[in-house]
Amino acid sequence: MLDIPLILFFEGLTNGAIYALMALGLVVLYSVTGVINVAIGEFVMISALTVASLRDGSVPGTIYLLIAGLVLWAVYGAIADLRARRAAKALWSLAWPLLAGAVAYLLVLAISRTAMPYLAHIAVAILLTTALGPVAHRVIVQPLPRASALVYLILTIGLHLALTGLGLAFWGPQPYTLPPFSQGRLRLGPVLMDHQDIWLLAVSLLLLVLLWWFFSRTLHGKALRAAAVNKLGARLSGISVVRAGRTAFTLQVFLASVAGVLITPITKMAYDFGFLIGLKGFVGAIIGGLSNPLVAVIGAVFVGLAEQFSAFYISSAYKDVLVFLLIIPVLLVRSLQHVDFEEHVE
Amino acid sequence: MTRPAVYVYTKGGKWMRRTLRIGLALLLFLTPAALAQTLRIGAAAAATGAASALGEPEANTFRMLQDQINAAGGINGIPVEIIFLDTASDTGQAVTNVNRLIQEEDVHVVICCTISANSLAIIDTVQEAGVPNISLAAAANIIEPVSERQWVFKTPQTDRLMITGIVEDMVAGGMQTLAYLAIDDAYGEGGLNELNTAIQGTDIEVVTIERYGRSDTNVTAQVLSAVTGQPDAVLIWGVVRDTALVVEELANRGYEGQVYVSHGVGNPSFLELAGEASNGVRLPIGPMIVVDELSADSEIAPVAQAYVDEYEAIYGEGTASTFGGHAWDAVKSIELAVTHAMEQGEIDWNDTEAVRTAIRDSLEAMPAFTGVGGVFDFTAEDHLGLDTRALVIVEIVDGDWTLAR
Repeated sequence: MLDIPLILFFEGLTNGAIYALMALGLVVLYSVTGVINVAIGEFVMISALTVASLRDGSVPGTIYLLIAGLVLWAVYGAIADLRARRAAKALWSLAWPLLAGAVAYLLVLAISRTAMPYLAHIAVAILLTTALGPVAHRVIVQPLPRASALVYLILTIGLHLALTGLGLAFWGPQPYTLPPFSQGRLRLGPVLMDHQDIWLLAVSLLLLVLLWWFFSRTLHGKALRAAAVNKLGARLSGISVVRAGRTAFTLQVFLASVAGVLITPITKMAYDFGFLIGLKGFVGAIIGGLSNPLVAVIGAVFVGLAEQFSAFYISSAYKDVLVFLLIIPVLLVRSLQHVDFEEHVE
Repeated sequence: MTRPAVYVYTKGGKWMRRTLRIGLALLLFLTPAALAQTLRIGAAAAATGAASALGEPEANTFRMLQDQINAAGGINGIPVEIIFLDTASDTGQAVTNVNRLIQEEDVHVVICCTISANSLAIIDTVQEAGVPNISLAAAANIIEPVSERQWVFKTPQTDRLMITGIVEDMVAGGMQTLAYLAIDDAYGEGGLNELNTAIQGTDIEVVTIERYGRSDTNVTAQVLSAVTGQPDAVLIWGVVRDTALVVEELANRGYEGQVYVSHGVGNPSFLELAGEASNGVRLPIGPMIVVDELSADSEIAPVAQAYVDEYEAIYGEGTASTFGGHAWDAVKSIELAVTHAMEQGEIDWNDTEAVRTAIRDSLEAMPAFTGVGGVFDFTAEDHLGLDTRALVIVEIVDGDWTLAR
C-alpha cells in the first residue's frame, strides 16, 4: 500500500532542494549587490540544454552568449581606459576578452566533436554556464554601481526575456531529457526512490555544506559577507566591492547550473521551464527576508513540501496559487518585526 | 493655366510629361486591382510554447500548402497568400494576432487557433468583424451553439466525439471506475463536461478528478491521488508535453489499469517523450495516424496517405502528425469553398467583406469532402460535420501507433 505522506514528503524534499539552491543564490547576490536576479531560472535551463547539445554533438548556443558578453566586456573596458587616457591598457582591455572568447569557442568546438563520458559533458556545461556569471555582472551590473534595487530588477527582467528568447532560438520549443546519473531505485523503508533523486539531495546537501564552509571559514567568503553587511566599511578594509559582486553573481549562476543538471533527468527541460523554478526559489528567498541564507534554504524546502501537500490534500488546480500566497503572511510578519530597514549602509 | 493633378518633373517636353502622368494614373488605379486578386488567409497557431508540438506541424503544413497551391496556378488562377503569426500558446497573443490579421492584413479568412482556450477567446473578435474562422482545436463549444457562432468552423474532431469513443471502449472492456486528470484550462474543462454527459446510462463512475498546469514539471501529487482509489482506468485530458509527464509518473507509481489519453497527443514526439511508459496506452484519434493499417475501402486512406507522403518528403521521415492534418483540412475547405463561390458567381476581390461572406456561405453550402481527418460536411447546423469515420481507437505498442478498434 502506498504511504502517501511519505511519498509526498520525499517528492517535496527533492523539489525543495532545487528551490533551496535558487533561494541561496538569490540571497547571496541580493545581500552583496542589491540585485534580484529574475533571470536565475534561465541559467538552470541553459546549463541543462548545454549538456543536451554536447551529447548531441552540436555546438551549444551558450558559447555564442559567452562570446557576445565578452565582446561587450572588451568594449566597456576599452572605453573606460580610453577615458582615463591609458591607450596601451585600453588595447589590452580590448584584446584579452576577445582572445578568451576565441579560445573558449575553439575548446567548445573541439569538445562537442569528441566523445566524452556523461559526467565530463556535465562538467563542461557547468563551467561554460558559470562563465556567463562574471560576464553578466560586468555587462549588466557593474556599469550601474549605485542604482536602486528596482533598476536592477528591471535589468534582470530584460535579461530573463532575452535569455528565454535566445533559448528558444538555440534549442527550439521541445523539451529535452537527460539520462540519470545512475539507473535504478533504492528502497528507503516504505518509499522507493530513483537514484537521481538521491543524487539530487546528496549533491545539494554537499553544495550547502561547502557554501557554509566557504562563507564562515575562508577569507574570501568572509570578505563577501563584509561587503554584504556594509559596503563602505568593506572598501575601507581593502575589500573590492566590485569583485565581491562579481563573485556573488558567479556563485549564483554556478548554483543554478548545478541545479539544472540535477533536475533535468527527473523533469525534462524546455526553454521556458526555468522561470517557474526560479520564481519558487524566490518565494523561499523571501521567507528568508532576502538576507538570511539559512532561513531562505529552510523556507525553500518548505515551499517544495507545501507544493506537494497542498496539491494532494487541498486542491491540485490551485497548487501554484497556494505556493505564491505563502508570500503574504511572510511579508506581514516581517514588516511587523522589522521597524528599522537600514540594512544597506553606503 | 490649369494645374495638373500630378506634378511630374521630367526633362522631356509637354508630351513626355503628359504620357508619364497618364502612365502613373493608370498604374495607381490598376495596381490595387492586381494586388486584390489574391486570397489572403490569416493563420495563427502555437508554433512555440507549451502547445508547440501541435502548432509546429500546423505551421509547416501551411507553408507546404501555400507553395503547392501556388505552384499549381492558385485556386482557379487566384494566388493564395497564407500570413502566419505565432501565438506562442498564449491566449492574449492569439487575440492580438487575430486582430492584426483582420485589421492590418485585411485577410479574407482566418485559421485560428491551435488550442481550445485560444480558439474560444477569439470567437467574439471574428463574430464582430464578420470574418470566417476555422479553428484547429477540439472543444465542442467552439462551434456551439451555431446560432452564436455563424462565422466559426473547425476541423479537428470534437472532444465530444472522442470521449464517446473512449467510453465505448471502456464499456467494451468492462471497466467501471475512472480517474480523470486534466489540464486546468478550457480543454480540460470541456473534456470533463463531455465525459459527464457521455457516461450517463453506463456503469462508469468518475471516482477522482485532478488538475495540473500545462507547463508543470511535477505531477506526483495528482497521480498519487488518482491511483490511490485503484480505478479500472485513468483518462488524461491534455496535450503532448504534459500528458507524457503524467503517463510516465503513472508508470513510476506502478499503475496497472488501462490508461487513456486524449487526441491531443497525436504527434510522434509523444512516443519519444513518454518512452516505455506509453506501452499499452489507448487513445481516440483520426485515422491518419494509422493510415497503413486502414482497410483498402476506406475513403480517407488515400487522402491521408498522400498528405503523409507529401509532408514527410519535405520535413522528414516519421514527422507527420494529426495536427498538421487538421491544418491541411482547414486550408482544403477554404480552397473548396472559394472554388464553390466562384462557380456560383463572379467574386469582387476588391470587396473584402463580400469575399468573407461568400466564403462563409460556401463553407456551409458546398458538398461534403474527404479530408485527412475524416469526411467533412459543413452545414448551417453543424460547423464540423464529422461522423464516426473520423475516429479510430489506437493503442501504443512498442513505441508505435497500432489500430485497436
